[in-house]
Amino acid sequence: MTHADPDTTAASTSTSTSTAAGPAAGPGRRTFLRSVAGAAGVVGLGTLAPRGAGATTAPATTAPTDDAARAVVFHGPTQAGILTPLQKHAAFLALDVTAGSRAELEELFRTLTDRVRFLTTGGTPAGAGPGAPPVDSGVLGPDVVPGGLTVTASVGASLFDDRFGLADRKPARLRPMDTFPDDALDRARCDGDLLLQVCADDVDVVVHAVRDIARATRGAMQVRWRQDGFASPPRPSGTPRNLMGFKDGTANPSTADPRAMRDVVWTKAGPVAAVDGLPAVVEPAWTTGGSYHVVRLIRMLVEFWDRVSLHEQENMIGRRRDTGAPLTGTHELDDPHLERDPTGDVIQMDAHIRLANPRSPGSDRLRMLRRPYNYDAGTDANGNLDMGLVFVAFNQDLDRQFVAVQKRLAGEPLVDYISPFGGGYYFALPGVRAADDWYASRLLA
Amino acid sequence: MPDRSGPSEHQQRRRSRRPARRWSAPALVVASGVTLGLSACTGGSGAPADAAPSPTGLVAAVSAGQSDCGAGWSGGTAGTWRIDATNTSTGGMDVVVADAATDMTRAREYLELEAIGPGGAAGGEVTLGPGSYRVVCVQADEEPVLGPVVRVTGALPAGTTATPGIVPITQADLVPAVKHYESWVAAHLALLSRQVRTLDDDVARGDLAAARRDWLTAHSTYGTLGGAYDAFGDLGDAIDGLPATGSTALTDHDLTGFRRAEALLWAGRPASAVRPVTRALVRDVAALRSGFPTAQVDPTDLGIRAHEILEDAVQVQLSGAADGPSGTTLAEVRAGVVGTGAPLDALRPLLKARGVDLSDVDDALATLDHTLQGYDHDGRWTPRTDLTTAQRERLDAEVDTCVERLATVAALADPRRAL
Repeated sequence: MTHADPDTTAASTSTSTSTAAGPAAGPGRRTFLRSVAGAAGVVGLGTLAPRGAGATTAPATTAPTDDAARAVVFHGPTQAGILTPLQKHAAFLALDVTAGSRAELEELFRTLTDRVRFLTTGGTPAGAGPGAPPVDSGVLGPDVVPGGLTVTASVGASLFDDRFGLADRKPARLRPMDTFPDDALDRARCDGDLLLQVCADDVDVVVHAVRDIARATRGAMQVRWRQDGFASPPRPSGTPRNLMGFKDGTANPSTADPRAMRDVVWTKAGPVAAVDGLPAVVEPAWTTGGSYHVVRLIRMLVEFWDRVSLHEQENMIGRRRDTGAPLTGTHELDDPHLERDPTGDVIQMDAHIRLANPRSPGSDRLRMLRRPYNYDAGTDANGNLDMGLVFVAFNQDLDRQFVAVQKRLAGEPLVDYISPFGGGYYFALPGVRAADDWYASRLLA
Repeated sequence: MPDRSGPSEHQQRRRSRRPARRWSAPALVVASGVTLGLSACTGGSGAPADAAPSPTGLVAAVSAGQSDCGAGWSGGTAGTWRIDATNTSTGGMDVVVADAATDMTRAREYLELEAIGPGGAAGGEVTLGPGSYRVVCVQADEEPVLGPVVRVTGALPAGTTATPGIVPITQADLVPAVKHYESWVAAHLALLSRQVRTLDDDVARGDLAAARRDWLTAHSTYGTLGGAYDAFGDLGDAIDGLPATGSTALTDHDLTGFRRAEALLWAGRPASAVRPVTRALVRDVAALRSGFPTAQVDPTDLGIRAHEILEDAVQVQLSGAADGPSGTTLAEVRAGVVGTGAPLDALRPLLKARGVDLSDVDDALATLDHTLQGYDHDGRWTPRTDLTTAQRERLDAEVDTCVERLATVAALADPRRAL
């Protein structure tokens, strides 16, 4: 076989998959439509260099963790924790505001800002004196280390109800999380007025921050639900793996590409033209520099998954489990070249990667920035492992990106092995720009 | 015998909350006995090797002994100081950084380094504005040793605020407060005793509707007494114990008191089944009342009680652990608010005389009380389990605000020795 373009990795697949049936139809693992070409497809390609090896996307790479003094810059036009390389540990807290007035809501955001500014910068907590309990929990020792901490604050649709007079400032697409056809949502573990995404290099830094913030804000907000997560290190390299054993996040746009981030992540105030059947809307003035922050708590039925053959697993995903390469390629970052496999000979028509990103004209508009964490929450009442994915995605436009992709995924074979049970749609606030600025200052201006 | 370890473990834990050593001679003897042998190893003076420098570089390594108290610190500029004290004496030592007042009994304390064993060292940070200060070294059964007066000069660096000082409240200061609280408790025990007799009379004549109403009246009074916070020992368990782990108040036949009476009254059991329980309740309350004058309130407990009755509301009532068939858990929380007010009011003159502003505590308690009253519909309370998520979150937030603010009251009212 010959290759005009050394970056092209799937040139031979069409000649080697003729025994496979056509597009796999319908959901469910019992399709038996085995597209066996994957292995044959890579013959002879082993000497090719991984495509774009130097352009690995930032969130796919876990952050260094050996430096407790590592501080992620807090101030800026956009918040940290979005383009920030994935820290190892995370806590997701959805909160409901119990503050009774707009003034108290502002006080809450100011307090939150002060705490996060201190926690992400580090330092010695001021003494409370002998007449009060200690100011700090001491979990990080006498001097609080930043530990790569980021706290990303986002607002949910319910904050814009009649309590605070913010109804006319709601981001245009923001609403309670949709129930998709394959969801099994527990509404007590969905939505919330606020979301705090707390990420750090070490779990004690996350725990310390959660405890500090909760203490400082107890009267003004209460935790609605919480899910903790962790990012696996690259095994052995490339994008971290999820708990199905597959690399997750390979197709992310590069956070080093400002144009991509502008088109994919950051929302802009003003008119949004009608596109892909969505109505034109106007984003409120304060939203520039924010982003639609989607969190989905997805349990993986890992015992069941482990009883499925590797071949079937790979067909459902559309990638190799060991390398992360598309079934049509050799290396993780290879282009799947779906256009050369239009009938799903190799990558099934309902494979996850094909549905999520068809790589067809216009499908660039579907891209989002994923920042996923794995979760491990013990066992359920029957002793089955409760583990899965905290799916996290940042979107310029909730409907054009996340929701459109989620609709495309309806009924994919993978749904038999996962159970989305919670999460929410939020809007990540624009950044805190300087020492005299605070979260939501423009929302509440 | 059913296992009652749940509630009593809970209570044990709270009893031991305070370090027993603070100004307490018997514990001091133990402490010095244990640590005596260490002085030879650790040597005399100097800052501990792992002392962290203060961010502004203001560090003082001071000696804390009977003859050299405060040696090593000669003052300096205003800012955040790291004070490392080494105990050069042969007994346990408490070290205080205080104002150099003419009357040291009125001096403000800014830093307490407590229970330093002989030869041991301890350090802490304190932000000092311009003024005159001294180190004071305090050993049990000895007069406090006053260190030399040092001057701190200049203005505090921008962005720092001086550590708030406190004027200590002593055991002696607390005597009138304790008396005030004890008389409040005695009056409420008398009221309780009348109310449980009314309950028992209702049951005796078979008026169970009246009994259910009067049960709540009496139980609410009991809740104001801080009984949940183990004020009354075994009698407290007999009067208001929760069912044993793994059973309910209806199935736990060894259970006595309010919870058992509630279970029977709300399960529609006949008066004849309820009567033995209410009769025993009358007896137990009478025993509590007659025994109370000899079981006096420890002065140390006053501030703790002001704080921890509502900590119980968080752990026991709001968690659902105390939910019973009457659905009156929120009435119990309200009783806790009233029960918090009593020790707080007893402490109020002492705190006010020391310039402590209790208005944020009072506001938080008033807000919570108002919310709870909204769930009282002429004696029919909204069951805790019927609260919407928003209602539950608001209630939790209000109780949380109270306990955060009351924690400071407990710290301030902790008895200290005068300098």
